[in-house]
Amino acid sequence: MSVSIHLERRLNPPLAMRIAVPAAAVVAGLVAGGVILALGGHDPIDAYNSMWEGSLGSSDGIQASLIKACPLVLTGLAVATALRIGLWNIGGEGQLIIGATAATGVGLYATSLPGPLVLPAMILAGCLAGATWATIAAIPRALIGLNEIIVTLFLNYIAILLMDHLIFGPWADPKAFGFAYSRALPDAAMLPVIPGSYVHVGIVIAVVVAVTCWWLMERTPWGFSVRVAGGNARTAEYLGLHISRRMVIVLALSGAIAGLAGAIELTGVTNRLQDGISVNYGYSGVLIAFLARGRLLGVVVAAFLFATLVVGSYALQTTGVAQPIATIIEALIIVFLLAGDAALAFRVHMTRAPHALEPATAGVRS
Amino acid sequence: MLTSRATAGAAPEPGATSEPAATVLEVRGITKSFGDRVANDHVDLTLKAGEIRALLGENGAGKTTLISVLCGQYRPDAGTVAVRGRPLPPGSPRAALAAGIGVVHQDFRLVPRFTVTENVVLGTDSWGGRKVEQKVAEHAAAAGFQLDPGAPAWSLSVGELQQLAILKLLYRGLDILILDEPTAVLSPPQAAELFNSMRKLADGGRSIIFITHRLREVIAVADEVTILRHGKVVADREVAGLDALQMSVLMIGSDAAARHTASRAGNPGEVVLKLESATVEGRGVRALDRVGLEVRRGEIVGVAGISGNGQNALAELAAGIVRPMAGSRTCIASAVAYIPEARMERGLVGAMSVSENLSLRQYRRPTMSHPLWIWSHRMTSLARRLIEAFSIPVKNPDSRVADLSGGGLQRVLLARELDEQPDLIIAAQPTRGLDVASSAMVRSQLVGHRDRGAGVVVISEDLDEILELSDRVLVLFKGAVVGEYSRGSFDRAEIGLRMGGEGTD
Repeated sequence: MSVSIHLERRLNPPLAMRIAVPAAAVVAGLVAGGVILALGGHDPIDAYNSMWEGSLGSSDGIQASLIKACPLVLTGLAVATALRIGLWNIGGEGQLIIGATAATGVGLYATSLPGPLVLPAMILAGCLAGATWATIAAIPRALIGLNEIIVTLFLNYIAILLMDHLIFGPWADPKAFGFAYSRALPDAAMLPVIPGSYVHVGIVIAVVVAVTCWWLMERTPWGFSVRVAGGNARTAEYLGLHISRRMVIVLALSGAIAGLAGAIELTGVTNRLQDGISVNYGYSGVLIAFLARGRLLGVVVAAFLFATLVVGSYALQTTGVAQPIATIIEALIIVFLLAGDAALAFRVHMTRAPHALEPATAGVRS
Repeated sequence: MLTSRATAGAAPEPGATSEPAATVLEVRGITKSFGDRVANDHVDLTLKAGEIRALLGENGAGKTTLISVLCGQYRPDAGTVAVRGRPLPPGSPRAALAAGIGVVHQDFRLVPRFTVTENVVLGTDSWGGRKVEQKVAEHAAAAGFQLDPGAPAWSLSVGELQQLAILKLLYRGLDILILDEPTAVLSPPQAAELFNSMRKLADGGRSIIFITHRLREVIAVADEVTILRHGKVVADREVAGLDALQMSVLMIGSDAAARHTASRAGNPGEVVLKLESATVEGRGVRALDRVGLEVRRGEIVGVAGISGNGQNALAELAAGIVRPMAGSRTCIASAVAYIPEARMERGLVGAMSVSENLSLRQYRRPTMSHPLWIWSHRMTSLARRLIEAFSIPVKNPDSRVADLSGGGLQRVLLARELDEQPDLIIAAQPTRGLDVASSAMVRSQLVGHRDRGAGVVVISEDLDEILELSDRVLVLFKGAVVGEYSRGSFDRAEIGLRMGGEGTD
C-alpha cells in the first residue's frame, strides 16, 4: 500500500480560499507559537490576550499600531514601486537611514529657516537623500545591468556607518555620555499629532503617498509604460520606450519614499538621529510588499497588519515573555502566511495506489 | 523520399512482443477538466506494437492534456490507462516511465553544455565512460541517427537535437514513444528524415504517438489517426483511404474552413520599404549579409527559408527595431505593424491583461489618455471591439493575456498591430503552432490588408503558406537572399532546394 502525493498548478484560487487560507495560516502560527509559549512556562491564552489588548483590542493598541505602520507602509511602498519596473530595491533600510540623516542635518543646521518651513525642508531633504541613495544603484543597473539587489543592499551598510560616524562624532549629543544619538531637534521639527490622539500625522502622509503611487502606476500613461517595461523589456523595446530612463526614475522614486519614511520617523517619533531609528523597517518592507503581492494599495493593509503583529509582540514582552520568544511567535505567523500563500497556487492530490506496479518488460532501466 | 507505407500495412513481426500487433497501450474513458473547461472528455485510444498513430487536433483540442495524463503528469478525473493489460497508477510519472512510456517534448529539455552521451545518460545511474558511449552509439546507429556521442549538445542542429531527445528514450528501453509536434521546428528534409527514423523504430516493434497539425504529415507517416475536437475523439481510423480534406473537416468540424483557396494576385504600388545591401551582425555572427529587399504597397513579399538563416534579423530590421550595420533601410510607412515570431517575448506583456495588451500602441493617444489619467473605459471598449472583430477567445478583457492559448495570443497581436491600418506589415512565422481556424484568420487578414494597400512581408518556414500568399518570394539562406521568384513562376522544388543551400551556383 503506497500513498502518492501529487501537486498540480491552480490557476485562479476561489475567493473563499484566498480568505480562508491566510486566516488558517494565522491560526496555525498562533497554535505553533502557543506550544512554544507553553514550553516557556507561559499560559498561551493569557499571553495572546495581552497581545490582542496591546495591538487591536484597545484604543492605545490601535494607536501604537498606526504609529508603527507608518514607516512600514512607506518602506513597503518603496519595494512595491520598484517592482513595477521589475527591480528589487532591498536598500529601503539604507535609504530610510540616509533620509533621516539628511533631515537631521537640515534640522540641526538650517537654523535661519523660519519655523513653519523647518519641517517641510527636513522632509524634502529626506526624500532627496533617499532618492540619491537609490540612484547610485539605479544608474549602473540601467547602463550596464549591474544587479540592483547587491548594490542597494551594500549601500545599506554605508548609510548605517555614515549615520554612526555622525552621531558618535560631529552631531553627538554632549549629554548622551557616549550613547549613540545626536543632539535633539528643535521643537519646530516635530510632526503634529492627529487631534484627539497621540498618533503623529505620518500615517496620513503614508496613505496619501500610497494612493498617489497607485494612481501614478495604475492610472497614468506613464505608469502604464513603466509596467510594460517591467513586464517585458523586449516588448517595451519594440514599442520604443526608454527602459533605462524609466528604471532610474522609478528607483529614485522608490528611494525617495524610503527616505521620506526616515524623515517622518525622525520628526514624528525619535526627535533625534539615533541608532535603531530603523527597526529593520527597510527589510520588513520587502516582506510586506511580498505579502501584498506587490500591490500598492495592498501594501497599506499588509503593513498595518504587520505593525499590529510587531506591537502585539511588544505587548507580549511586557507580560514577562522573553523578547526572543515574542519574536519567534511574530516570525511563525509570517512564515505560515507565506507558506499559505505559496500553497494557494497548488491543488494537492493524495492517492492510495492499491498495489505498487512492477516495472514493465522490455528492458526498462530503473 | 518518405518511407513506403507498404511495410506498415504488412505489419512486420514486432521485435519486443511475441504476438503480432499486440495492444501495448489502452486508454479508456479519460476525462480531465480544469475548472469549467473539459480538456479531455471520455477519450479512448489504442496503440498497437509497431504502430504509428497520429494524434490530430486544433490548438486546445486536448492533445497536450491527454499526453500529460499518459506520462503521469496529470491525474485524470476519470478513466484508465493500461500498458500491456496492466493498469497504470494515475498521476505517477515514474510508473509511466517504468511501463515504457516516453515523451519527446517540443523544447527537447536537453543540457546544451553536456555531450550527446551525457545528455542520454542524464537521470540514469551511469555517468559516461567509453562503454556507455559505445552503447549510445549503437542505439543511435540502430535508429539511423548520425550523432557523434562526444559532441556537445549546443553544437547540434535542431534535427540532431531531436534525434538526441529520441535517443534518450531509446537508451532507457522505452517502447511507447510520444512525439509532441516534432516537425514544428524542422525543415522539410529534416522532417522527412525524422519520418524515416520513425518508420524504422516502428518496424523494430516500438509504438509511436505522433502529434501534429499538418495533415500532409499524417498521410506521410502514420498508420492510424485519432482526431480530437473539443476534448472528444471524433475519429479513430486507419489513415489509408483518408485524404487531407476529410481529415481537416473532421478536425475542425465543417468544411467551411477547408483549405483556403489560393489568394488572388496583389496590385503593387509605390515602394514602402527598401533595404539596400543591408548587413546585420549579432553576437559576432553575420546574421544578414548584404540583403536587398523592396516591398511595395499592395503586395505580399514572402521570405522562405529554414529558421536560423537570418529570418529573425530580417524581421527586426524590416520592422525598424534594429539598424543595419552596413547598407540602408528606407521606409516611408507612417505606421509599421510587426507580428513577431516570439509572440510572448517580443510582442506581449504576459502579466498584463488582454485589454492592456491590446492598448499598447494606443494608450498615449489623446483619445485614450491625458498625462495624468487613462480613461480605462476607453481601453476596455477598444478591447471589446477588437475581441469581437478578431474572435479573441476570452470572455473578460481584464483576464491575463498569459492564460491564452497560442492562437489566442496571435489574435491579440494581430488585433493590436493591424487596428491602426498600417502601411507596412512584417509578419514572422505568423501561423506557427496555430490551429486551422486561427491560421486561416491570420492569412485572410494579411491578404485583406494587402488589398487595402499595405505592403506585407511574410517570413515563414511553411513553404505552402509562402507560395499561397505571396506575390513575390525571396529565399533566405545563411543570411543572404539566394533566390527571388514572382507569382506565376514559383517552382516549389527549386525553392525547396535553395532553402537547403543547394542549386545556388
